[in-house]
Amino acid sequence: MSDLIDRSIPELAIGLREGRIKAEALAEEAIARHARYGKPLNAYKLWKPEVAKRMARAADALFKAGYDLGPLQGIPVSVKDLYAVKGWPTFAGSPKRLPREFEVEGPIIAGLRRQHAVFPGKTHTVEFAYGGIGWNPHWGTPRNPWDAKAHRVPGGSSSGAGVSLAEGSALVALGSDTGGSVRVPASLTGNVGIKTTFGRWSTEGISPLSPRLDTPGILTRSVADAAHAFGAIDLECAEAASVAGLRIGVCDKLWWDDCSPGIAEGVKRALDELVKAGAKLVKFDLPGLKPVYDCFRQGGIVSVEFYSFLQNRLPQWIKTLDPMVVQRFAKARELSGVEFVRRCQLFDDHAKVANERLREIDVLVSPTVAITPPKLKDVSTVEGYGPRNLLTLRNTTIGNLMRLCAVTMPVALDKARMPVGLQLMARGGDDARLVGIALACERVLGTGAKRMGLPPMCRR
Amino acid sequence: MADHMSLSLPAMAAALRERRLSAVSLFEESAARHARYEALNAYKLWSPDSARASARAADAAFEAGSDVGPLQGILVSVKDLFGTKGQPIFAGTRRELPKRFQAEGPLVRALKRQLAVVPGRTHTTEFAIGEYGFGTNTHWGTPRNPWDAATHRPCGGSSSGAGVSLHEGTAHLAFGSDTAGSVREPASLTGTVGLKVTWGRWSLEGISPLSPSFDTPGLLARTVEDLAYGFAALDPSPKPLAPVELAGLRLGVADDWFWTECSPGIAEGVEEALDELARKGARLIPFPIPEAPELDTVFSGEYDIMSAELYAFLRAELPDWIGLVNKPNSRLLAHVSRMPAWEYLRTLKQVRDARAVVCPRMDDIDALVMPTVPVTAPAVDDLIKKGSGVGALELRNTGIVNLLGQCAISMPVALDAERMPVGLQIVAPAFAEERLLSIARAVEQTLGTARQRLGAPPMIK
Repeated sequence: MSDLIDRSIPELAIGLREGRIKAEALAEEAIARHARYGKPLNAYKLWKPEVAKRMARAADALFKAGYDLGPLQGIPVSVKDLYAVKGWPTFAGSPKRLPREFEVEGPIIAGLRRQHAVFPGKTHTVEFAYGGIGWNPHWGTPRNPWDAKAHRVPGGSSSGAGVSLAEGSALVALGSDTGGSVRVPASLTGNVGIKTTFGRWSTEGISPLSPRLDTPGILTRSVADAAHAFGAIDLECAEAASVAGLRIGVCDKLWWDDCSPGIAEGVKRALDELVKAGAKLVKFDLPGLKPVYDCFRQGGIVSVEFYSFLQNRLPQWIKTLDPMVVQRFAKARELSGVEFVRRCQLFDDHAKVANERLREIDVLVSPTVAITPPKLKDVSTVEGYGPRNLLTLRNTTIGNLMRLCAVTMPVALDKARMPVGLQLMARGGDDARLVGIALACERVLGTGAKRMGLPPMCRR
Repeated sequence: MADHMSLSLPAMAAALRERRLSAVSLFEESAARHARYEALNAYKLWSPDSARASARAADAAFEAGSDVGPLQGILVSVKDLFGTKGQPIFAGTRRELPKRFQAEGPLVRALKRQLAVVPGRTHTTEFAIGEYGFGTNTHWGTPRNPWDAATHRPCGGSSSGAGVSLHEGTAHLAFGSDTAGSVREPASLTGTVGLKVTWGRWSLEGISPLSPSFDTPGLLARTVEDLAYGFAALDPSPKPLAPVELAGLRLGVADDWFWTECSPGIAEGVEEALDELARKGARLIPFPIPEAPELDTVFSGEYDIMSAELYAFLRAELPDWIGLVNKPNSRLLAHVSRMPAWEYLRTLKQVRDARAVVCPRMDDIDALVMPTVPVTAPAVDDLIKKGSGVGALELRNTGIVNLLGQCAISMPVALDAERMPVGLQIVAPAFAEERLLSIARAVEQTLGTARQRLGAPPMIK
């Protein structure tokens, strides 16, 4: 088996432009990888190898004719099944195809099409993206490739995204993040994830969960790949920062509580390596952390916006909802408009202060997810699912509520030999700067593949 | 009495710069008028000492050859909803708000930076919301409309003292705010000109909120010419006003729904003005908005979003005030506390959907026209006796503009059957304030200013 697909995207992009590498060959490798690893992993809701090959041939023809239409021309990009892709059904993780208006493409997909990226298919999502575990009773829960013995969850809601990267059927995976839905699956599958600042990338053409928090995002295998893809979608480009003198804020509250064995340790080891390379650790209290998290635990605003969306636009989808989802609805139905507005104001007020305070440091860090990815059997009941879901999302959701941007990068394996992510957070709007910092950290720490090797279920 | 107050703002600014007129003498004229018309009750707080000090500073700057902005030495009254440092803010309520509400936002800061003179803080309805309608305030009294010498009629709300302050001649410009009509209604009822800017054009910082989803600051003036001058002085990035020809101007005339149930003389007065414009070549194009009655329920339906957002603000920021609000407002808040969150969100979505459908249709016209307020304001005593809250009719034609996210001007064009002023509302697309002002200016050049068309209010001589 050839190993084109294991190379970095920047390297592939050069090869494609010099004519040494064909997009079609790359697509064929992606297809072969899926054939080899795909079945037990179940990353895709919709797998379209023929379409991918056609798109790749078009990209090649354009390269040959001298057209370079963007950094992702010819690169396989998997698409979360929340995004509208023309001609492909959108299920959004539900049992029924959504109405046709959910198949009208938004700017992100349209932009990737203009660049002639290659779409091999649509990846699984938690039903309407509501959940951090990755659980989906309708279409099956994709399997985390890092445990060959037990079926562990891949994280969600972009549950197929990280798995598609691990198996090698895509080099970039599109996801969306309302409380951690890009960063959690990235962290749990040993990949990199970028959650952009709210409002930075359009959510048009993506089935909504909570329009006040929804943000698009991308997953890749390395920060170098992430920076490349970020520049292809964003208006700014990320340039590598320097670790020397980098002020890294560490908040000892909340984020480090209740970590599974090996997680806090793995993140701290990575931080020590960064300190050896010249970074400075600064004790930093994020103002408003407690009231914001308390309000989130009371139910926050996601369930209300989600319930309202279904009630108003997809009432027929309510009765087939996964029981894990429905149990979080009761409170949403009762909540008053006045209380909803008050919560929104509370979040916004604290976000303003927090963003101001973050000027004092370059980046704020935490473990991305506090716990080892649970085994599927442990989250198959409402009692098992609820607390684990909450804990899985705890460290990431603060970033959404506080209007920050965030990156996760793999830095270690925990005691259960499952991947551990380091979360980097920065002020809203500083996305490019943040990716530049992550790039600098990766140059010190090495990529996930270097640090952790390959997932046992995807060994070459 | 010297009468420099009747000068247009551009003429006044020129006279100040040529040292033919001093800011202090302007303010003393204003103070004399205030003494004379105090019974109209425009101001919650009249602050002659700080105003005189600002006027002196403006003069000293002129003397030193410094021209720090178009409003230097100009009198601007400020609604009691805006923070002004060191002055108590009540927001129309029974008790002074905490000191943090005195913090100044960008609009008031712009006044201070330009050395404008703020003679006082004008009355508002309680938290800028309904009460008994039309600008009534039972805590501090309802400002008196100078167009009726016999009966105490209200001046429109919520910026209830703004229009009166202009008539008294104590201010040349008046700051107001507008959530469903709170700048345009007082402008219409007092025969002055009022601009509601597009949501998001001017910052709401430093203004006590009513409904952040729809709140907008606004400006009242005696003429469109003055208003355009004030707008250019306050907007962070104003574009020059391009001249507009009435000939060929496409005026969309809002459909019948906006003209029904008008009090005698109101629809007639606006129609007559439109006919005059048509005779100058403006094209009157029927403009149906079939979505309007349904959209109107956002403010007039079972639960209104304004009170829901106000209640949320009070719970978080001013819980002690909830028990202090007057009776009709207290009933309103108690009722809206039962609005479910999903209903709140459904309503907001209804607004967004309506915008997406209606706003593109505006591309076919230059502006939309209709009466500003369809009804004549009754006597204050009758309003309070009847005990009703906001009549749905009162804000029908103005509220829709906030819901659609557009900008609009109200300008006086007639007197109704009870000899009270009638406003013509001109609506333009979002962020088209300059175009809107140009159109209103062309209309004013044809129809004449309020003073020319309506004469002076009987109580102002």
